[in-house]
Amino acid sequence: MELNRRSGGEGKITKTRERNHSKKVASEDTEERLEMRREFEGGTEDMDELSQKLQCMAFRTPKIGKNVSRRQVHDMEEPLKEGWELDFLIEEELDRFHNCNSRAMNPARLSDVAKMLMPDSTPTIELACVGWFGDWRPSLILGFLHGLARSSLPVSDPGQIERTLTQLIREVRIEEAVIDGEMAEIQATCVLRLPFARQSKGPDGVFPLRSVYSEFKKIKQVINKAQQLRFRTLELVVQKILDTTDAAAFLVEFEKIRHGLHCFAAEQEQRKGPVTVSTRGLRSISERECGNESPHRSVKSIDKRLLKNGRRDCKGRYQTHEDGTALARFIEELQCELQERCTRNRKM
Amino acid sequence: MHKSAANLFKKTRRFADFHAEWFDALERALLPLLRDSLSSSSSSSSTSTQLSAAIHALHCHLQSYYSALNLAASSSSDQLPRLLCPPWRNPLETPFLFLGDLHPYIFTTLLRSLIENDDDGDDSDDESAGVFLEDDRNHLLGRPWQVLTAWKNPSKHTLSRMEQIECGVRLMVPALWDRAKVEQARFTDRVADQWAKASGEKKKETAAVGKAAAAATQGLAGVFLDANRLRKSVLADIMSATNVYQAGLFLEALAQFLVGLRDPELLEKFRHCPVKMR
Repeated sequence: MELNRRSGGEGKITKTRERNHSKKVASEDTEERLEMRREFEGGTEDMDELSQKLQCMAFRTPKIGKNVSRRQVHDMEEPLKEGWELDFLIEEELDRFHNCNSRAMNPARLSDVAKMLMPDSTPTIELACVGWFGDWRPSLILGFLHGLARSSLPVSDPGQIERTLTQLIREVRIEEAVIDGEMAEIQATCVLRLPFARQSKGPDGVFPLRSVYSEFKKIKQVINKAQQLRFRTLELVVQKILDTTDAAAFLVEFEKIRHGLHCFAAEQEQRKGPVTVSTRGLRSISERECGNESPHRSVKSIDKRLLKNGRRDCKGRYQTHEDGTALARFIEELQCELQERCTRNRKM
Repeated sequence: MHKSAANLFKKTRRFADFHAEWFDALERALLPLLRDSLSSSSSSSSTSTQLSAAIHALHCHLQSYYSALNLAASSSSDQLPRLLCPPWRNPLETPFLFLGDLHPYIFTTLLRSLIENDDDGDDSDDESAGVFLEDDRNHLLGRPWQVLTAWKNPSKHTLSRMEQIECGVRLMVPALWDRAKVEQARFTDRVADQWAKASGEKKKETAAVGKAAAAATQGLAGVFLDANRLRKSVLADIMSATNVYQAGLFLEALAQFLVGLRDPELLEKFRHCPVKMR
């Protein structure tokens, strides 16, 4: 069905395409098949662009033995199908995704489990916007496809895909909620499972470590489930819901947005310093909540005390009292502080 | 001391420093104070005042931490992502964080675990409850009877208040979580929407992502603020639902838990502990 859809640049057979195909001379049918495609498909340019992009993505991954054997299998089987090289590239992209996942799934140390949830390489903005157990939330991958299918991504059967996606998003959300529930259970009961609240250290503190170990094992299992769901979702979309061309187009867009978000977030994060908090605000919190000072105390007494404290602080801060400029600045700041207190008290 | 004087006029300070200081005060001053007040054996009114002062101080200390988190989040929303993944938390704490801090369920779970009912056959089956009683026996000896029996057969009123608190938390937490999920879903919707208009231009794409991310952080900031408000109100509710001895034991356990998660000795072992352990 996708054959008739793309009616764009018919007859524009670019050199890049030849280049692409010359990389895979495994099959003798290639040229013949190409010819067929050229006839039926029309807009081959889109396809070529796609396969090129996908190939670029695929080439970034380290080649692993498993992949090679898979490729050989494909070389034998796939020439019969239309768009086999896209299939192959999609497969490779999925493999890449899977490998990334499985590498992260096997941490060496217990403390790396925390890194699975908040990977060092993932900026916090990315985690906040799309994160779920350290990577993209599966329903968001679907949601993104859903949005794209409505706006920019031309898919073969929008109505059908829309229906399937809505249904699938609902199902995936339920699965997510189940996994979230498991995690919440661990987070809620850790206060009982970890022995700190009871102050019971075994010999050499082995006992706490053992319970920490078993909790982290559980957490790791939940993370693995989450990662499996993520991978399964992507696989399902690419292999079952979308046809080959749409799947390739989607993967390219998805990779672009992943990359775009990552770069944006990393750049933002680099520009910002550490998390800070206003000292004045902190002081007023400690006064308000720790009862260091009653909020209804009159401004006058605060005034006196502030001055007294101020003089003491001044001694530590400035070398001499004769330093006129420093003292002036100090008084200025004191006045600001007082003014703020006055307005606050008035509000109360 | 000198440092704090020097910081007096600084407009802002690092949150990590604040947290270190806050934790230090909890571990070195407030928790020992509370323990002392719980163990002082006489039941005169002066020790009772001392105990309630210690409880008040520790409770306020916890409250002030959540207020500080909210202050940091509301001062500028671009701090929010890092407040959700706080770098000042160690790898032992991170997996237990829910929207940037301890799960609100922890408070109610802990509260529930303190109750000792005579006719409660089910609870003695629970392994952790058994351990709890067994281990506590040693270090609780020497405490006045009011403390030792504080959680034995609590009054109906206390129990029903506890149930109310639990119900409240169970209603609020899923709602918060749903709001966070909705914000994330909106993010992808916005990006997908803008993606078409960007039509492959890198600048426009980045702008689209930036805009959507800003909106999402803004929304998540509201969720974060409410999560901390929930934690604060649960703590305050627990304080008001319990008597002074019950509250003291609860806060002691909570503070010990917080301190235990940052125990340097354990942390050192934890960092080197392989995942595959015999």
